Amino acid sequence: MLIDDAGVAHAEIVPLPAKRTDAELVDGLRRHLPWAQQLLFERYGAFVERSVRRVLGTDYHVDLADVIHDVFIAAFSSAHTLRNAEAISSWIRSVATHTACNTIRRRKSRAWLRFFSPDELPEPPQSTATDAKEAHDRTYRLLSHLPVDERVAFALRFIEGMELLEVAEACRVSLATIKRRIARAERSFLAGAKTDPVLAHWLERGDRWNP
Amino acid sequence: MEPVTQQLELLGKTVAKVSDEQARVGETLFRARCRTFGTPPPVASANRRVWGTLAAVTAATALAAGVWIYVRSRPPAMSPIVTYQLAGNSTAAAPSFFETKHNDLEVRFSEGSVITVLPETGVRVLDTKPQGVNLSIERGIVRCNIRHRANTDWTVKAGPFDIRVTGTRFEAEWVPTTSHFELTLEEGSVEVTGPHVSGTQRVVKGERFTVEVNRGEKSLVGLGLVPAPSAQVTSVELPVAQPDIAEPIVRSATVDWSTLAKAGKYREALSIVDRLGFDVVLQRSDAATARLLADASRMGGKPKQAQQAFLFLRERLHVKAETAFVLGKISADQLNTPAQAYRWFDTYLREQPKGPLREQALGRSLELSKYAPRNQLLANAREYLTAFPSGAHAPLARKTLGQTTDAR
Repeated sequence: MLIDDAGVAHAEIVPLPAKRTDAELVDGLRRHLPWAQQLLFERYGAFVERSVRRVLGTDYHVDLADVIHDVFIAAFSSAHTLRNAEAISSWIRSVATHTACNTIRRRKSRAWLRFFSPDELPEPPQSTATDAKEAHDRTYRLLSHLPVDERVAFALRFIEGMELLEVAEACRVSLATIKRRIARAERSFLAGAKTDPVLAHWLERGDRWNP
Repeated sequence: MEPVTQQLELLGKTVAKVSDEQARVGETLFRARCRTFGTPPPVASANRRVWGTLAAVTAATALAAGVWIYVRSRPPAMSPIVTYQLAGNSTAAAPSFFETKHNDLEVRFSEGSVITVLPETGVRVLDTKPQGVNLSIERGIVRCNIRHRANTDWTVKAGPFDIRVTGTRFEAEWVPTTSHFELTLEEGSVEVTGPHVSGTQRVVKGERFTVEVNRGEKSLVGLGLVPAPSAQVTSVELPVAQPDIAEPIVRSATVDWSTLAKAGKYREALSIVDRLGFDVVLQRSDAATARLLADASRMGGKPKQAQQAFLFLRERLHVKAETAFVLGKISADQLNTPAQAYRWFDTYLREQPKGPLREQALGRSLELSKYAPRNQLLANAREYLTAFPSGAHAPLARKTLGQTTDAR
C-alpha cells in the first residue's frame, strides 16, 4: 500500500501476473485455495483423462467425467501428502490410478446386477471395424478378466508405455512388487490371447506391424 | 528385451493410438470440470467489500489524474482489481481474478488491448506472454477489443470454449448454469473450438455464434437476421415443452436427437427418440438418418432397436452388404444368437464377395464354424487362406482345414 503525502492511500503498483510456478501451485493446494484447485485441473486435466482412460479402456458403463471428478476431489483432499513441486505429475498420476482401481472394484462388485457382461458391451462408433480397433477392443476385453492389480499394471506398462519405476510409483508399491505383478499379468494376458485369433495374430506378427 | 515383451509393447502402442483417436477429451473434461467446480467462484465477503470499494475509489481517482495503476492481485478473496497495464516481461506476480457486481469494469493492457467486464461477471487472467494474454471468462459477459499486431496471440476461454484471437472486437458470454455460450463479432474474425464444434469454427464480423451445450444445439447467424438452427438439426420436428426455462433460449422447436447421436451422446439421443416414438422416427428417416439411428441404438445398448433399424435400411431403403455385416455383429456380440450371426456374415459375403469387410466376415464365419454347413466351412477356410494368408484368422483357417480333413 502506498500512502502519498496527503495521506491518501493508493493501491500498490505491481506488474501483471506471470505464470504460477509449481511451487506456488503446491502451496495453494495445501492451503485449499480455489485458484490452485482450478489451476491443477487446467494443467493436469488432460493428463488425468488419459491416465484413467488407459486403465479403464472401453468400459462404456463408466462415465470418464465422473472418474476424473473423483480423481480431482481425491487430489484436493490429499494435497497435504504432496511432498514438493517436482512430484506433482507423479502424485496426480498415482491418485488417478488409485481412483481408477477403485472404480473397477466397485463395478466388479456390482457385476451381478448388470444384464450385459463386459464381453457384450456395445462397440465404439465406427461400423467398419479395422484390425487395430479389433485389437484394441479385444485387449481391453481380455484385461477385464484379469485381477485389478494385474490389469492396471499391464495397462500402465504396455499401453501407456511407462517405465517400471513409474508404474511402481503410480501403483504405490515397490519395484519388486510391480515386477512380479507385471510378470503375472503378462502370463495371464498371453494365455488368454492365444485363444483369441485376432490377438494371437497381433502377437505373432507384431514385428511386421508398423503403427 | 524378450521378443514377447516387444510384441506386447507394439500391441500396447496400437491400443493406445486407437484409444486416443476415439477419445472425446474436450467434452469429457468439460463435463468433469462442471462436476468438480459446479458453483461460481466465491464472492468477496462483507469485510472485503470495504477494501474493494476503497480500491475502486482510489483507482478512479488515479485514472482521473491520468495515472495507470497496477494492483497486486491475490486469490479470489481479495477485492476486485480495477485496471491493469500488461507489462511485457512481468515476473513474480500472481495471476489475477476479478469479478463485477453492478458496474462495468474496464481493463487496459499495455499492448493497447482493452476488455470491458460487464456486471455479474467473473474473469481470470490465466497466463501472460509477450504476444498476448490467456484470459478465462468464468461466468458472464466480456467485451474485448484486442489490438491487432503482427504477432498478436490472445486466447479467451469461455467455459469449455477457446476463442483464438489475433486482433479483433467481439463480445463473449458464458453461462455455466445453463451451459450457454455466445460470441458476437464486431470487427475482424476469430476461431472457436469446443463442444459440438467440429475442428474449429470461424466467426467473422457481423456474425453471432451460439452453442447450447446441454441440448447439443448451435447456430451461426448474421446479426439482425432471424436466427436459424444449425445444419445438423434432424429432419424430425416436434414441439418441445420446456417449462423450467424462464427465458427460452432455443430459437427452434426442432428436437435434435441426431446432433446428440453424432456427438456420441447415444443415451440422451435415444431418450429423445423414445419420446418421439422409435418407429415414427425410423419410418420418416432417409438412409443417412436411419443409419445414424441404427448406430446410436447399437452404441447406446439397444441391440433390438439397432437390428430393427438395420433391417429397415435393408428392406425399405435397399442398403445392402455392410448392413448385413453389422447385423452379424449385433447377433454375435449383443444378442447372443450365433446361428443368426453366421447367416448374416454369409449374406454379406454373397452380396459383396470382394467387399472391404470380406476378411472380417470370413474370419467371423470361421469362428462360428459349428453353425456353418460343412462344405461352406471348408470353402470359407480355403478362401481365407488364399486371399489373406497372413490374416488374423489364418491359423484358425488352417486348423479348420486340418481338423476337418483328419476327421473326414
